[in-house]
Amino acid sequence: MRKKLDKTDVVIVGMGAAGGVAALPLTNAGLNVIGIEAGGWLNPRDFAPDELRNGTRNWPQTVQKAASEAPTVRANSNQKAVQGGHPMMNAVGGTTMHYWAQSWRLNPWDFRVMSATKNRYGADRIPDGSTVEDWPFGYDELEPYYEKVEFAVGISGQAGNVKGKINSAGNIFEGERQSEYPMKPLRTSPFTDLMTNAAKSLDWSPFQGPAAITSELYDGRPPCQYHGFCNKGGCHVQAKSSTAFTTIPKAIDTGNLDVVTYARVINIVTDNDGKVTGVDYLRGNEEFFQPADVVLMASYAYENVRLLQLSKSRSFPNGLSNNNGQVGKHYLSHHQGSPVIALFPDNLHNWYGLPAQGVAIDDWADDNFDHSELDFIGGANLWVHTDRKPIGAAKMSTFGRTRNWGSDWKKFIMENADKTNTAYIQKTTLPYEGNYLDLDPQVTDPLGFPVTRITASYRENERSIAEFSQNMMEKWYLEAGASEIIRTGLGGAMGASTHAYGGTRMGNNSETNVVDRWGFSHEVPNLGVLGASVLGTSGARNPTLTVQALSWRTAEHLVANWQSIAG
Amino acid sequence: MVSLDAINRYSKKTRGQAFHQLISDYQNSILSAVQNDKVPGCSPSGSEFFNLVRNHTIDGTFCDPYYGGNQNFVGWDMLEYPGVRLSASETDVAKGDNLEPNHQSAYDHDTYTKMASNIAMSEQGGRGDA
Repeated sequence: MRKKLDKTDVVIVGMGAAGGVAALPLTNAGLNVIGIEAGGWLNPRDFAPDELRNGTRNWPQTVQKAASEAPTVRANSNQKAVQGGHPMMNAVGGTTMHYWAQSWRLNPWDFRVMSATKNRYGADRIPDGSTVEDWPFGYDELEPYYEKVEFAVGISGQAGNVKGKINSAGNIFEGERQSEYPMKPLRTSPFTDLMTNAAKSLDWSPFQGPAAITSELYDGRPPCQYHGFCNKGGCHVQAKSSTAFTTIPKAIDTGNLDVVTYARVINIVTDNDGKVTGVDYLRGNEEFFQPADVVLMASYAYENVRLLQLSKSRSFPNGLSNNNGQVGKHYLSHHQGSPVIALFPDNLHNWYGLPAQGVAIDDWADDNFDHSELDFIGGANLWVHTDRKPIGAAKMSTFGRTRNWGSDWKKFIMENADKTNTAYIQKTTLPYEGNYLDLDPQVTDPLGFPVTRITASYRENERSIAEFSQNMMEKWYLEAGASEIIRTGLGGAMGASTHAYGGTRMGNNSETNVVDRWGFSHEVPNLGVLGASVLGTSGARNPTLTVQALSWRTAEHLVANWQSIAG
Repeated sequence: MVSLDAINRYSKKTRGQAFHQLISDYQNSILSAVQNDKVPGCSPSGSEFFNLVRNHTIDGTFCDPYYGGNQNFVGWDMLEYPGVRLSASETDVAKGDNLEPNHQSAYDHDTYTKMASNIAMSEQGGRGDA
């Protein structure tokens, strides 16, 4: 029997990076919010610095809801899709528990890729088959929300452009900010100093990237201890500004937020007028109906899309908010592979430190350089960082000097364990015809619901950026004194990714977009969507801060327009 | 076991003895044959079996001693990894491989919940009545 619960103002599906931020402005305004979360509460005792558990055995992603419904993947519609792993975590705080915590604002160019490209290079430079559109607003409209989130969550970093004043210690290419970061950047390391000096001698503009990690005492949380287990691990001192330690507890303190843990939403319920009335969820073996005036979907991109596609009704026979057939379209996963790997002659002192403690180059990102003579648009953010663990070190490339076992290999890793580095290169990735998410016709989760099927591949534009950015990365490493370089492949299928975008894209045109400029469905007035599924372009940097700024903006819009949206 | 049996069959056929009885040069040449898919009967293939064993050997040698491998921190010492620390200062990092190894398991610190798979959950904020 489905148990009907008392009605609430707003239900948020997912208490992660997006829902966990939106809850704060909603509850501050006095709205009653119920946050439904598939995972549970974790605490600092759970975050042991244990490489085998966290990394090798992939602790954060196993034995949970997401793992049981991991997407299937194929490069194109002629192939059979194969199920892989799921990159995200179910917990209060979601993947902000164990992410790298790089917290960028997008570059202003990312909001107007279409018009900026046409204006500067001509319409024929938009890659064939791309469905890219300008965002319905520019960077300036999101800027105040970036700032609100940077302070509410706690971001450390070095500004490069405050009210038009350029500071070359920060990112000189960033959009204009109204304030400095709330905290100074994380400290440098001998390795990042080496790479910074090399970049300067190339006449490039190196800077320390922004991180959702405390660099000093902030809001009652201690500063980062640099012990270095951020990747797939939470923080033992709560220095990582996960929503579980920042906005969610504050929202609970208002008395207006209830978080329901270990609950799995299986359906968004619609009435015959085409409005949503609440959600059905499972907790243990019990089924509940939680009525609400407004539903905000804040799962990961794959789950947002899947839940819409599964929620069929008389008003929406092809899935909720999908009468225009746009749910699942304009999908992309960020091209963040194709790294360059370097071997240095000396130890780099990288045993301690974290992925967000790094140095960035934006000279070759976005439209920060002239593309007139190039065969692609966009570019890449080059990132190198400190972070090394023993199992990973032992599995390092042998750079063709020895086979990967035996006494020669042992000698090699004993000499070189602290001498290698792998660059992280995030590239502009565009949406294309033929790249989409739908329900897999064969593979189901344990409840019998179809899983998401990813049909998508990188195209020439992404592969050209990959090659170009590898050239630049190689140049940077060699300038820093690297003795050997390995370059990897340029990318093929878009697998399940920690940076998944689209599927419920935001835009003014309801025929090509699922949500409007405020994040509410074009077809369902009291249904909002939070998360990177609303993003139409990737930028060349991690998406979380943009997702959080948009979530705050959607929540404020709901508060200001409560009667017209909920009524 | 399928692959181990296949390796022993190959060892007896080519060298006249079981794998564990061979001198190390012969063992190495057979391991090379396994890695290069030259030994029939391995499952799912010689190279995949080889990689599985290689990965598990590395995991065991260089993991936290809590799991039973890396005894007396031999793996970490071999790489000159100075050990798990709750905090690493700028001075620690500057010392590099001159930093004295601390020879501590993560779970020597009472700070951490020991059961690797037991994700402790508090009910803070939960709706037990829902």
